Amino acid sequence: MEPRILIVDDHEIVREGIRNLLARSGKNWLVSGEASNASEALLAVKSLQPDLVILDVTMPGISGLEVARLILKLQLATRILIFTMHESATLEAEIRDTGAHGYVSKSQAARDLVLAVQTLLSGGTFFGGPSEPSPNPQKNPDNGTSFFAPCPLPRIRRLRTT
Amino acid sequence: MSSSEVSPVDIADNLRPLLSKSAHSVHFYADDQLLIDDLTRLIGTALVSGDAAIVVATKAHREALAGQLRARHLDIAKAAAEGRLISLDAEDTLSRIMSDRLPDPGRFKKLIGNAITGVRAAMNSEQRGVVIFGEMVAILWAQGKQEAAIHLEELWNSLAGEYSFSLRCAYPMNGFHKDEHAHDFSRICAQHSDVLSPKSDADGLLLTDSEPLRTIAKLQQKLQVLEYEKSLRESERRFRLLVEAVQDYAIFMLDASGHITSWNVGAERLKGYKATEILGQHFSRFYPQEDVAAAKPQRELVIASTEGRVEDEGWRVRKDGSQFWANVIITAIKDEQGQIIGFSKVTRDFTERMRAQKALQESTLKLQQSEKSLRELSFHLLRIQDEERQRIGRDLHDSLGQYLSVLKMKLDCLNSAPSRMQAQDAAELLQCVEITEQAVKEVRTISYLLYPPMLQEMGLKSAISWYLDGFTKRSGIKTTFEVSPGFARLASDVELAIFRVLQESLTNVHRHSGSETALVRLLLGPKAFVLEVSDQGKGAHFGKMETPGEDWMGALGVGLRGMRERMRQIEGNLELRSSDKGTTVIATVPLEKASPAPVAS
Repeated sequence: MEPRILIVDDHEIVREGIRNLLARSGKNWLVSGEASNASEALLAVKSLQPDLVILDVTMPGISGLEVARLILKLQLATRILIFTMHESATLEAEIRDTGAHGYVSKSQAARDLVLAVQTLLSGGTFFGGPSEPSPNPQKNPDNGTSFFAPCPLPRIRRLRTT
Repeated sequence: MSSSEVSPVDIADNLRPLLSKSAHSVHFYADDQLLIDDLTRLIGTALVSGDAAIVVATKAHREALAGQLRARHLDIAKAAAEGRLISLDAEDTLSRIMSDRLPDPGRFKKLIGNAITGVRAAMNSEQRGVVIFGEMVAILWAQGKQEAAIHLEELWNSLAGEYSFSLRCAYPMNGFHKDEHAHDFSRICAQHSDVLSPKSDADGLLLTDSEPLRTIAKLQQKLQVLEYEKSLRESERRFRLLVEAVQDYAIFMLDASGHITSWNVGAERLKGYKATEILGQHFSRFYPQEDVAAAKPQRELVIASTEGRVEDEGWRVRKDGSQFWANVIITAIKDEQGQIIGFSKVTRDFTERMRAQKALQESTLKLQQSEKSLRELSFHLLRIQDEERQRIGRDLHDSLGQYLSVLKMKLDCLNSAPSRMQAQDAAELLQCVEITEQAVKEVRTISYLLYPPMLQEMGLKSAISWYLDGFTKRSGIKTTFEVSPGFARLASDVELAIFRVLQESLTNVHRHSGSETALVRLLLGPKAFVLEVSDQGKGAHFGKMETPGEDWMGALGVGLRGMRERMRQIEGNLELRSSDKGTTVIATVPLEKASPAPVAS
């Protein structure tokens, strides 16, 4: 049975773009449903129990990150891939914090999305690149436009309570 | 010797019959000069005629006497050396003879008796007399020790029984100006054989017929009392004229029941009544009807009676019915027994002052109101601005950003199949991809600056962290972010205000400090939540920070004033510390204001 994918984004044009990318990949994947907000997404996850959810962050009402948490609480086998316009090291930490399995920037969708979906369906994670277990651990080395720009990152440290 | 010349001795001989050897005369002198003249004559005559003299006088009188005698060529040093002249200090002598409140007869007799014996021994003839001048009694009198003075007079009289001398006492007349002195004055006169007139300057004539003289002295004393009273009345009259002439204050008197008994020009000017119209009227007619109905005039008299005075401000009525705002002071006047005999009332027209105060209060109130509406307006503007930014930021991000993202997605797809097109087209396509990528980034940056991404969704901690990430990329300033453990979500308006303060502070760090690093701390204290933004730069020039930034990055800041206003709106506080080692901005919000409102489920 082919892997089933749920696409969640509040913009139809984005959902369509994702569908096209997935279709062009020639993989044996089925887009089993689409949702445009958090509540639709949760209903769809419960009824369809997809293998993977591609989840936008910025949506009216509840954010994609919160949706990710709620889906994970359902304790299904569903893998979660965050798909967002935002780019930030902080966001990566936030996404990891929710328990989602990966993260792809919309501006790098053509390059990363198919690889990320494939990685997650294989049980790996994708944060800026595929992690074990991965069918293709090779990352393009000359692509300097990776969404983590080479710059000093803010350091977060905990303070002692006084 | 020529008949035209008269020797001192001749004069003395002429005068001698007038000085009875046992005479005890008293001189009530009007002024010191009269006393000294009389004394000079008395002692001079004694010394010139070969008699002895004892002077018991004040220092001033002794010195004046010596000067006068010398001026008349009398060799007082020789007389003293011969023992014919003894000069004693009255106060010193008095202190020797006084015992408690009265003179001690024994000491008096010994001291004065010895002096008399002494001068007598110095004279070669028993025929020569002893003249004594004494004013110890006057000192006692001046000290209010009337009984001691009279007692001392008695001691002199009893001494005259044992020794032969002629005695002159002297009192200043001004010691007897009061009525109550009349009795003691008579008692003193009774101690003496002769009383010299106070005005007796003239011929040194001593009237031996003492009774008429006493009468004269008494009359003169009475005259003096009358003159004193007259001068008192004169001063009262002047004072009254002064009061009557005062124009700016209504000053008038009330009797004990509140009826008007005096009226000055100021009162006429202020209240419009002439004295003839108002004297005898009750003062309540100056009060408005409602005050009269509430018995305010009576109440004020009661307070003045019990507390001595009462001060009041309020409306009062003029004769023509118009009102003025008066300041009134009513003071109770009591007689010597403490009985209230009336009241003085001083009224001033404070209408102008009251109006000025009222105008001031009104303009202060207006100012406060316009300040308040200005604050409300600025609050409103900041809120509108925030909402507008949020809307534009979201629109950019969620609409334009999405379209651009999908556009890039599709261009990437085309680009991934280059074999289908010519090389030149492929290069053009690659450029399109890059331009689209750049457009996505620009849209993202602008939208983030317009409104912090995820502030509402993920809270201050994440939003700050996210923002610092972008700030470092844009500015190259390294940032360190420290957060107290247990730092949770705050009220949304507090989070936004704090975020804007952070944004503006960092813009200032970037534009003014020259610092390469910045430290941002979110601290959770027991009572307050604190944001600290510090740099290691050259110190802030606060003037520059007053105005919002003008370049495109700083344009989103609100300036120091804006930061303060934002903090004020959430009842927080903004503090700036700056030195040559850097600047720290400290925004503090009380926890009760910072805590989020419970979310309705």
